[in-house]
Amino acid sequence: MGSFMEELFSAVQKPVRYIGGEYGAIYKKKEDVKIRFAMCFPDLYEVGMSHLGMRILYHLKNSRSDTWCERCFMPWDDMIEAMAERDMPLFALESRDPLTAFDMLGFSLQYEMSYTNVLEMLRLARIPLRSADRKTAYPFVCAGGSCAYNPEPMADFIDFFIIGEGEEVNMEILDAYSAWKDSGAPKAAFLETVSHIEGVYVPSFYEAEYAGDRQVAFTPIGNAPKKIKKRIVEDMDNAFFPEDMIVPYGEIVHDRIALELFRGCIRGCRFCQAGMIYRPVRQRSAARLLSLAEKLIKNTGYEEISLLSLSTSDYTALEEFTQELLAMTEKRKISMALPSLRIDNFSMELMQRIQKVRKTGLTFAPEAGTQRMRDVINKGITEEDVLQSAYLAFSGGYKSIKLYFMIGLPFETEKDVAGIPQLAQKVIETSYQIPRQKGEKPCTVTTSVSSFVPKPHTPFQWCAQNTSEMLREKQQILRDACTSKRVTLNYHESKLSVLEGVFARGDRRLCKVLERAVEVGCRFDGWSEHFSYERWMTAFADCGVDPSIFIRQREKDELLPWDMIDCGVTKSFLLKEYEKAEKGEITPHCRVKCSGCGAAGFKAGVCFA
Amino acid sequence: MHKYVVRYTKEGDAKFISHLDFLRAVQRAMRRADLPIKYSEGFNPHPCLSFAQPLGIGVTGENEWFEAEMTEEVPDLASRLDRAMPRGVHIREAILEVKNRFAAIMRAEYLVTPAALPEDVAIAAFLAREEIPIEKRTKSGTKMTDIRPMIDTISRRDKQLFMRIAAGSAVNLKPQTVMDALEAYIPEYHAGFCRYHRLALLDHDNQPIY
Repeated sequence: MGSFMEELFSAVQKPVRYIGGEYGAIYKKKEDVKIRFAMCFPDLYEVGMSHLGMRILYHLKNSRSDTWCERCFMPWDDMIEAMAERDMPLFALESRDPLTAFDMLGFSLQYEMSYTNVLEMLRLARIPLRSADRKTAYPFVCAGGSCAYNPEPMADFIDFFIIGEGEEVNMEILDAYSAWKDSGAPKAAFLETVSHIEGVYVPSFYEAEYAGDRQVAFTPIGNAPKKIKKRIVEDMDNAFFPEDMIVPYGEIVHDRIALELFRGCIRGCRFCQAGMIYRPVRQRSAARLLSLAEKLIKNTGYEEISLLSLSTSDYTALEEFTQELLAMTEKRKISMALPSLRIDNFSMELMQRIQKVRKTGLTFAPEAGTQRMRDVINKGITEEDVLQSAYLAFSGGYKSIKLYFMIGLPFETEKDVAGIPQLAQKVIETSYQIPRQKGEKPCTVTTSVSSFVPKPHTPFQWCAQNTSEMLREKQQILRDACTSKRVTLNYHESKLSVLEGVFARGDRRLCKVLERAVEVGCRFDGWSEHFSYERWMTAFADCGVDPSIFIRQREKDELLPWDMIDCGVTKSFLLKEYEKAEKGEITPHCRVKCSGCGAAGFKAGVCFA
Repeated sequence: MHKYVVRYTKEGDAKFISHLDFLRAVQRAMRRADLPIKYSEGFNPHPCLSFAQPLGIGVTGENEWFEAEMTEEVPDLASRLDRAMPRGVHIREAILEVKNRFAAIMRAEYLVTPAALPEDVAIAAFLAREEIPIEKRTKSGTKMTDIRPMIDTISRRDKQLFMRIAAGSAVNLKPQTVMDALEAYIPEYHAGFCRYHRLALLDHDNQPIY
């Protein structure tokens, strides 16, 4: 006869998502620890295990002898069904204990459309969704990640949010928890303590008032801080980075060593949230990276290493560093991946060396089709740059190029939309100059066009988002203007982008909508086989909430739901950037000239280089 | 070049690792063990590794084999590799320079533990059939296959079933298929959840390949 868990795992298609026990997974005795933490990722194992932040925090928390940090991912449909048949609650991978056995659950919020999965995971764990309904017996529920920079749509469900980088603040929270557990004080006392840790936001300590379509007041109750300042790691060389990592069995999305070069981005593209909220740019030294690479290669056995950052080419010592890293990896037959690389002679040579024959494809992101539009978004590249890069790539033997664009950007005209296929056409034409051997396949261009979603803490946070009708019209313009057989056009489901925008810039009035959406069956909304716009509209209608109020144009003097979050970049800087965008004026990057964004207040990185 | 034939066991939850995932896990364990691995030629070099007979998902095994090539002799290969393995997988021995007999595999022995195995399950009558056609799913619909010739023996061992059935690259029968057939041809029999364990890989003379 099989054991209970054995039968459960046998009932699903991919049991490796749930069994744990991978090389590097950490097992402790529950009697030996004081704090049991469950890191919860509201998506599949394959997605969650690919997230570097999750891996850093897992090993960081487990470096404490008083804490056992385990993992929990959103189960796929077959597992949800198998668990329901057996009346089994959601469990953590390592101990297989139900989530109710933990002291604290920490959710990673990386994508607005995973909010329903957070609620679904709580439901599967038989934990009340709303903080107010979780009395003493239940674990604390916290959340962090880039979506926590506007925590309001999740405010009713999360006891406290962690804003910014987690390496230091998580340790402070665990220390506070340990002291609170000894004290025997009520739950509220712990929340009161953490609310005074910099970077922690306790939503129940604030009241929000709304009138019509907007928020009109946001008031701390008692002595809760007025502003919550994000946390950063000042010195990347001394920041915790795991030297041993879990090596999953199943093929996860990013199945390789990720070596983080730096945080932040000097560029300041106006649509990009990551480029604003992760400021200032802070680099790891080449020496530290090489030593980490050597240990990680040895400890994980991975056959591939990838350099991680928002813009690899902006690493100041890239050439020297990659030469040394290559010397290490070539000897050990390890391949190297270089995402986010700008194409120039140096990078072409580098790529020739790292992937000698598998010349599959290259990706560029001009983001917009016309120069005017690229100036509006402050994407500091010209058409000439793009065409030069394309020519270099095609003549270097690449057969296909993928181009990333957006539609629905602010101040966009029909001409800008039509400019996208026109630029794609010019890109493919650069390949015509290169002689082709007999029987050799012609080069191709894939144009991938996503719909712009205005995000909090960016210069475009005030902008109206295009409705799905407007986006569909623009997609029609794209289709009409795209005539070449060698240019393929892809675009995204516009309704999904609109919902993403609703939650990106939403407020507490969306909490009940999320709750209702989960009741009517919304989950895995980022997965097309699950996403149902109709179901979502039912949830909005049932709650009497009009989603369009969250994607409207905001007044410049309006109180924004995320104004209490201080990400370092000031609102006045964002406003100035918004006004420059309208005039098509560009702002130089951090290394050319400081534009006074406010991030220098952290006294770290590029601001003091 | 030094070829090692390595015996391993796969126990507990490790049985849920598919063969492809397991192959990758062994390759990574070999790198972690810092062995003098012989890599394949070509642009995408990978460790030279071949498996005797993949274990299906959900099946444990105690006499499983793979062959690995090293550029020099490694006297402590088994212990080094064992330490680098994920939970539930153990390296038992590594034999240097023996003839590769993976192609000689003809049959495999399994021990099946069904949830239910009444005293009177008519195994003898099942085996007395001249033909045991079962439906097999193929790319284009289903096809009837007679599995009787692939079954060497099935016998009771207390609350378990011992079976010796066809294995190898030419003809391979899964123990799960045998259990499905038992349930199909003995209408009153319902096995319930079954645990599958491979005991040995055998050659033409029913001798273990090593």
